Amino acid sequence: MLFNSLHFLVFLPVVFLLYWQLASKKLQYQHLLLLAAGYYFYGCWDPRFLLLLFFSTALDYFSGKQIAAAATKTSKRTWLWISIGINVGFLGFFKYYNFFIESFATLLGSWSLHTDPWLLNIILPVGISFYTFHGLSYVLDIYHERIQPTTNFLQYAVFISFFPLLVAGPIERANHLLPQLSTTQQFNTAKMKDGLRQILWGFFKKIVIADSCAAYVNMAFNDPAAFNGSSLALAVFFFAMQIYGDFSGYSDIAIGTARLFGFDVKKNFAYPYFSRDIAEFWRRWHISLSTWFRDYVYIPLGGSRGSRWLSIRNIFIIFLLSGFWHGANVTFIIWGGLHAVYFLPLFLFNTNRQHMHIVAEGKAWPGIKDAAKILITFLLVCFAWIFFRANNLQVAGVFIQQMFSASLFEMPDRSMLPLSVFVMIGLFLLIEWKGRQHLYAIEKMCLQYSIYIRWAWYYAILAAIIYFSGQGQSFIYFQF
Amino acid sequence: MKKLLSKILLFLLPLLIIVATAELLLRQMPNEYKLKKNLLEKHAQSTELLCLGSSHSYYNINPVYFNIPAFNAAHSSQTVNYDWFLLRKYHDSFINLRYILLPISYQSLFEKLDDAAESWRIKNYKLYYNIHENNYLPYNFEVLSMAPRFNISRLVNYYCRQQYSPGVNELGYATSYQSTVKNDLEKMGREAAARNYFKNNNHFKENLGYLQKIINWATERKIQVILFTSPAVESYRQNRDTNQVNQSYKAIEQLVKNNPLVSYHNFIDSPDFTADDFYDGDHLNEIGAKKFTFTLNDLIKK
Repeated sequence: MLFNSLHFLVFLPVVFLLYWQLASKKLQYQHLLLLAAGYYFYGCWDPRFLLLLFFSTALDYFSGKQIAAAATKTSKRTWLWISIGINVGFLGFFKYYNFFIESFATLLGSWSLHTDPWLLNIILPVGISFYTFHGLSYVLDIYHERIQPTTNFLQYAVFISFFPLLVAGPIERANHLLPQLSTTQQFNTAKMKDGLRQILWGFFKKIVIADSCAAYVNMAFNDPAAFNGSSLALAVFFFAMQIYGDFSGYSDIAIGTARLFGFDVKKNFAYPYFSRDIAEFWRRWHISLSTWFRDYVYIPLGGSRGSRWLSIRNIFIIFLLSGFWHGANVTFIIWGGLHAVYFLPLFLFNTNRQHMHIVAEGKAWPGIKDAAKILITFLLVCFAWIFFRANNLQVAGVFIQQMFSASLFEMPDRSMLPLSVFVMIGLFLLIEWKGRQHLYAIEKMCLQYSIYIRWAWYYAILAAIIYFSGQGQSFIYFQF
Repeated sequence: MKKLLSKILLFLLPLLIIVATAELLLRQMPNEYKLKKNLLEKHAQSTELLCLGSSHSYYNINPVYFNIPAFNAAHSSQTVNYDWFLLRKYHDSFINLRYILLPISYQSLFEKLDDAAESWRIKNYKLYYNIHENNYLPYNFEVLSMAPRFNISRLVNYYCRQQYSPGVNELGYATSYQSTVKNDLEKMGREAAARNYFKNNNHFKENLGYLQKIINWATERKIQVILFTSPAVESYRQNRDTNQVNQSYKAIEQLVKNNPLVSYHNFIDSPDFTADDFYDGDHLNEIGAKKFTFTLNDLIKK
């Protein structure tokens, strides 16, 4: 079930009403309802994988208990590795099996050893990367004694299958969400209104920005040779807007929906395109994933505490892993590698923590220096997006070759100049800039005005959503 | 909670009113499905030759040029299941029917409207032909079947600018593909071939089943079923997937062998059609349609 479907438009109010009318009295009822909603939500995509979801839940719950109860360090570690092995095994099988088999066959082929690789027609269970990471963080936190295991299986099952976060995150941590699940949620009007506002803004990002850009992006990446350099440059800009609108829009809808049920979920995006360097970009882009890798991979590897070379190795590991997490394709690995290369000078010159606060805090506009830094960072990010979006290295190669040709300075193709999309992107960036100090851009916007102005503002957003809807695009991060 | 819910409802009320009004206005507007339904009901009893199928019939066959009373009941993207549903719905009316013309195009046996890119067209069969074979709720409404901006543009064009052209002649032929429009045939042929390529053959058996139903119905009434593949430009022909083409030919060959009243005629690379006859890669313009209808007419006479 997609957030941007009629199915969800019916599903959400039904679950909401049942939750606050029938289940509001008792914690167990709330859990049962959320569990049923989560399994229904997931089962709508492919009911066969409900078993996998349940197995993953049971495995991590049981492993967590065993780790906490283990008398010796060896026994603790054994249970941890059992959990990691099975979780990563599933992820590896569904997501990377064919990639590894094909790569191995190619490698053998390069040594003149021709094989017929045994490829499988594997369907990737939606959201497997997300709920696997949910579960892994739980057992790892127990292992490192940051949390105590829950004794309530139902509560843990809701933590894993909580439908707003189930298929594309944000990747929540047990120490943040589980305590919220241990108390009965109380209806809070202000929280509900806030949730609805965030959902509205999420839909705007997804439908008005991301879906509108998708057609132009697809056109250019399907046949880059047919476009001149400036059109391809525009296509990369559109993709930058598309992926941000798509994923941060999804996150806004997810976080807003969680708020409707009384839960606070950590933010996943914080205006990444206003970053002044790559380090800041990664503190603002897909925060739940980058902090996950930081806490569970980078720091255990030694982080930046060891020698220079060790730290550089760790940086590359974390970025390459982050790229690989997105999918079994060399293009994602190159995307991750490029970001590592971008990040390296900042690390070497110790300037990676230079920009910890939002740009031009308390000011209307950035200074020239900050504006230039934002632009350079954005261009670097855009260049890397080419690899992220291209279906394979060959397409990426043609794209870059064609883009950086003399035709970069020609007028873009007319088909790549949609006026309404430019207007919407311009307005969107302006609103994002104005609201950059808040959790989401329209969080506090117009709240100081009367109900008429506020409603007119919401109607304007809604009208744009309705006008641009119907382009039928799925969420990009579902495939990861 | 009640206060919040009433506020949400109050907020959404104007929107619901607008949506309901738009639905009413859209249903009041004339459209090709409504028009063709009325024309079909008017001509069904006298029709001796019925054209079914997709745009390869709709734009390529102008019944005006047949020697016998004919009607074109094809629609864009109409797949073989909807050919059958239409035939079944009006089966009592076709009292003089002698021939059924049905295109077997590159995608015909692989595509099903229900999951095709233009599946929104199902709402036209539901709302205007009263054919309810698909249970997807949004297809019961104009406003929910198409992107709002298209509906807004339809409403503005019809009610504000008073622009409407039926685009269909009295015998159901689509008149909108005119020779005055010059398209890049090579490019459009390539694009159409890519568009009509199917990675899987999930609907192949099912479509053959519907085709057999049409044939059985026709055989019972001694009606001849003439299957044909209409002309297409070279880039379309060359860019078709050989497996998909061969699979179709093989199945059709079998159908013709097993059913004496069925014949198949392939005009895809007919030398009689030049670039001037085409509107795009796989559709004829009005000149080509006239030529093609004469060709089919000669075939029937023989």
